[in-house]
Amino acid sequence: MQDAAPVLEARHIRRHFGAVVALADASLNLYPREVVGLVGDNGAGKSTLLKILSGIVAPSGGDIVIDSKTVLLRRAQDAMDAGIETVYQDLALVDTMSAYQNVYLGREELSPNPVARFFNLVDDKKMRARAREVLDALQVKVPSINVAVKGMSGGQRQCLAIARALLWGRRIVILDEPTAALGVRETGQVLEVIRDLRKHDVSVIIVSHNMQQLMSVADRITVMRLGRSIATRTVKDTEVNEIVGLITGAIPGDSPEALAQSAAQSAA
Amino acid sequence: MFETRNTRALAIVALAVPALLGLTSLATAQDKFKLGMLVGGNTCCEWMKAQGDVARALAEKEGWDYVELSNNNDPAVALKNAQIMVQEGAKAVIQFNGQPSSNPAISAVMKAAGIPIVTYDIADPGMYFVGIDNLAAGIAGGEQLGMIIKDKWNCAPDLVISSEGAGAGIVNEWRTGGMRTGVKNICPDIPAEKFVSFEGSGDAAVALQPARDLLAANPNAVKMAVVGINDGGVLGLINAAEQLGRADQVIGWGQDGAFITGDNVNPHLAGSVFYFLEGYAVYAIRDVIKPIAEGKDVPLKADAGDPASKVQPCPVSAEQAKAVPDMAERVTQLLAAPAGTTAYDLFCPNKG
Amino acid sequence: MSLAPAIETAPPAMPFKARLGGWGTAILLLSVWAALLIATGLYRPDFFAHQTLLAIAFTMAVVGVLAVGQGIIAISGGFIDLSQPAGLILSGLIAVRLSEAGLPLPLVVVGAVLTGMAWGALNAAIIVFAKLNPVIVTLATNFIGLAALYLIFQLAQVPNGSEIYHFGRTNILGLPAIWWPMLLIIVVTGFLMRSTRYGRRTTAVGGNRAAAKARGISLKAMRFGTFMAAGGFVGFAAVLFASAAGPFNPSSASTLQLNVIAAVILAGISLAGGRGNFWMLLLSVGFLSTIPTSLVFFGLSSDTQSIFQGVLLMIAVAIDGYRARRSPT
Repeated sequence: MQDAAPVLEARHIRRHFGAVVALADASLNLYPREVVGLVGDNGAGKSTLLKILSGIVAPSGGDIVIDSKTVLLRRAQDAMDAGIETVYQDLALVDTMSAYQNVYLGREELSPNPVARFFNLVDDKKMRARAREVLDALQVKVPSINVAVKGMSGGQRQCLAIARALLWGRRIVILDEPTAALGVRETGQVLEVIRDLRKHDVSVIIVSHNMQQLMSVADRITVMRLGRSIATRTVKDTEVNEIVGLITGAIPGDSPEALAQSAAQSAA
Repeated sequence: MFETRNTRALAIVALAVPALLGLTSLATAQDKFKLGMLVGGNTCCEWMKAQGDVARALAEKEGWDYVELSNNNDPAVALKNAQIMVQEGAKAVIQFNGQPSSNPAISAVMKAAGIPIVTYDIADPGMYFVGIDNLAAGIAGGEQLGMIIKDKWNCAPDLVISSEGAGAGIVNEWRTGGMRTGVKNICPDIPAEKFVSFEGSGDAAVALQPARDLLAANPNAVKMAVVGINDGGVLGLINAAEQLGRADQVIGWGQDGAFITGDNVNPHLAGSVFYFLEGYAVYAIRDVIKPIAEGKDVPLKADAGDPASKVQPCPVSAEQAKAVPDMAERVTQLLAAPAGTTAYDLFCPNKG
Repeated sequence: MSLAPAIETAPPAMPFKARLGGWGTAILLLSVWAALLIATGLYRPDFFAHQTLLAIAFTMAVVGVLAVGQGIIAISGGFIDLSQPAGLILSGLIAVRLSEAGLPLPLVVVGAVLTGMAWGALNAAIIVFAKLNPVIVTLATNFIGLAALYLIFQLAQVPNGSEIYHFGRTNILGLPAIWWPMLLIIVVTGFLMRSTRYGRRTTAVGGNRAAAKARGISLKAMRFGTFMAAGGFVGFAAVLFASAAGPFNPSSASTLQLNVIAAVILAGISLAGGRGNFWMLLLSVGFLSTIPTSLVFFGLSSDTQSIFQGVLLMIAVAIDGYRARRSPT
């Protein structure tokens, strides 16, 4: 699957808060159309790494490379501009607004008519059509794109947030526990959407505690422990027990050489 | 003489300035006679401020010390101010307390300290009463309007409308009710059902909407006389009639003269009653404070019917009012006049 | 290995209430209004007269324009702007001074609107830079503003016979001249709020600040924008107010406040933010402005109006709370 240069490389990222080292040395590669799972015990540094990749926290050291270019992510907007969309657990939907309005929130399309444009009028027709298109492409089913999202299920809301990334042309989507609060059926729906993202040239980093789920949706899994990325496994060559072992420390992590090698293998 | 809108909300902000003014005078000599003035509210109305300004100027002429505090139209502030006056060592105090519920407490404070106190317009048994006879003022205005009703409508108006200011309590009864009495004195045969009322709060802007509703509910009335607690309340109905295209069916007569002078007088306001509120200090000082300062014994006359000093109401038609200068000019002329000359003496074109 | 169960994606049927949307509010308002009109008309057939129409329409004008400003604050999550009376009096004073200087009406309007916007900007600046609750800030600025205004003037009045004086006393097509701009403002604002990027974002910020911010919407800019726009409406309302009020003093506008807030709530513009249809203001303002006129026709004294309005405000707040707990539309 990894037949091209990575879309995103995080190289030896470090972050300390005063004397506390949150992230000692974390590296992560993400290739085009790939889903990478990020796992680790609580306090292993997953969320710090996510925040750094979303531009919310600045790294103390290390490089972030997107499309072979080193980037500085100082603010959330920088990450968005670099093509990274982060979908948080608490979602970022306005309950009182409709699905398509939420999808276009902050980036409403203005009318093509110059007069209407002068008066700041939006092009609802176009936004509705595009939103419908994207939701269809991802097979997201919502009761109507025109009613407020408050009444929608957690799964539908999660799917909308993900669809927004696609619509806005993001190439990288970061999902933080996307199914944590969802029932079985809804979880299935969200995972289906994540798989679909691949078809649209979007790469995904997904953080989850649910191993079964990760194994079903991810291509590779990177394990973190005590602020370090200690191993990366290809899903089809591993099993849940090995990952759990790596997380808990029952199985030792790879040596730096092995890490480098596995990275090179993936790249090959 | 009162303030119909509750401006208690302004108390905190407005308290600071006059309080500071008062304190600065602490440093001055102690043996001079010191007059304390509690104005109704420095930030309320032009006339309340003018009452203080005139008292100050007259006190200075007499060579007295002068301390001024603002009651901010708040009974609690008024009481506190009275206590400050005691600490200040005032030898006599004048107050206007538009929210008179604290008057008994103020009387007690002053009595305990042995300080005589003059109150304007709203009587209290412990205070020298200086002021207008509101009922007489109401009747005087009403009779003037009654004569117009008699001339124009042969004492058969469709309505006699009262613009009430219930917040002023008994003063409203005296003035608005007095005006009705005055109308009846001239035209005794107007049936009771022709008299209607609405609450206008003595504020033209506030009275506007209820006045419109009253006019709408009396679509067939085309001869309407309007009385009220003050010019503002009466003007509220006139403005409403203008909006409904019925101004020519309305003749109003106000109280307090606030809108009868200047070049902006509404043509449907036929007249008003001047009290010359700004000049009350002349009465208070001439008849109460100065005799006390000279060591004379002044009997406590606290009743509005038998006052320590009576302010004469001055009913004026709009035409006559043109000859009356505006308040700022009146204050200037009043202060230039010989001691004891009242605004009524100087300016009333229609002396009774 | 696939965990995904068969995804049953038949969308749940849209609830009827949601489908009814804002029109539920319209139907409710129209029904109570019609009931009030019919009841009064049955009691006093002469209620249905041009004079009544004028009386109600005049009352609607100022309240309606103020309600648009209040609605913008509410929908943007600012809860309520308690400084409208001070803003109105300040702008009204400017309108009086400009008309005293003999300026033509359009310039008077511009001056008053700019004053209102400046007043809004002042509120916004305090809220944004001192990071304070808008309700507390506007409560304080209203208090301070009115006190300061008392120091500047005790009474103001547009000159008799001036252009603005006639504006407040003229009819156009059988309705007050000052009623028409109110109609236009409600209709146009209702359209703009739902169909402009600015309107969308205002609603979004009120609905979920965090979400709006995460989408790159500047909360500070929106705060300034909403308060200045709302202030502009207060400034315009001040022209209508000054044109008709006759002499007014700094406390003359304070009685308007409760009516305006009640109108906003009854119109279904949520005080919690993020929801509301400004067109509903036409109905709620119309209904609220009819109540005092009806009471007078029923022969009730004008003192009872405040009681009715207070009760109505309570009912409106209860409805708003109920709506907030229930369906979002």
